[in-house]
Amino acid sequence: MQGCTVCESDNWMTLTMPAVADNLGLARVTVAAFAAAGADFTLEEVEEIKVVVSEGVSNVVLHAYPEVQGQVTISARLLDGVLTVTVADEGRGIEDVQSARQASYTTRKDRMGLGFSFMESFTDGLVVDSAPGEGTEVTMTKAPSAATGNGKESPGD
Amino acid sequence: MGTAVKKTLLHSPIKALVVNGGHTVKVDAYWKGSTAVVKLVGEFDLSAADDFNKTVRAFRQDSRLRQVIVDLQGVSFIDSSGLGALLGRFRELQQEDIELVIAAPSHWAGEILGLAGIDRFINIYPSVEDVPEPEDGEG
Repeated sequence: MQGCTVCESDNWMTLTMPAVADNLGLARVTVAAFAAAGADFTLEEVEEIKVVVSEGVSNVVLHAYPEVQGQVTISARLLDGVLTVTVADEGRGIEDVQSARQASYTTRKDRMGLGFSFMESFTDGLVVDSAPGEGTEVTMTKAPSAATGNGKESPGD
Repeated sequence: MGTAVKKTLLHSPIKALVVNGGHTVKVDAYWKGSTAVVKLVGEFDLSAADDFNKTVRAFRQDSRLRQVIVDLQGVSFIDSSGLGALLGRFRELQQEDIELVIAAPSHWAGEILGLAGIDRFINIYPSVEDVPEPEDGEG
């Protein structure tokens, strides 16, 4: 195929911004555009990428910096057509990562505790690295279904 | 293309086209009898939840309120913050016997609502017109 010079290689981006809700749209659009331009993601998969970025950054906005204004760094890498997205903060960290990842776990009444569930459902892998006082780093990987053959819409065998 | 047109485009603010200047949703709301129709246009995320919550709570102050229809037709994106706001207001209104329903979600929004199991709590209709009037409504 012509026109995709980075599909079979290595491309990356990093975005650092204040961890505020008004930056969510920018974070989603940036990573989605990066992923769509460099790999064979379907429209639905690009929507899923927007959701997982939104969930990761929303977690930082809501939980990482209870008292001070902090920042969030979103890194994305496309290596041989597979996307890795990392959302990192330098905030207070998560005490019990295993509990936080449970569906319906929430520390706030107006929330559903579905952030990590969506991140798990819409990616092929999710790693949460966190310790109290040492920030949190969430890493997600996603391969286009067209490349893995796992796609729901892939034509019959 | 004439230079005048080009110049106009070049000098128009483009941020509204990209992410709506950070504020990702527009909330329009109106009365329909004893029903409040809350129409959202844009992206329903954490930055939009406040506007939505304030709008619903303002209607809740009015004693004639029997039903809230959240019109999602213009919503191109929703995540767990949007879902949390919907379920939060649903529960709040339920305590006062006021029903909250969802109308016209896009295909993608419908999938997210289904995945989250929201349809087990909140009734979802294909359009605002399809929503039955509230049972004891007078309007």
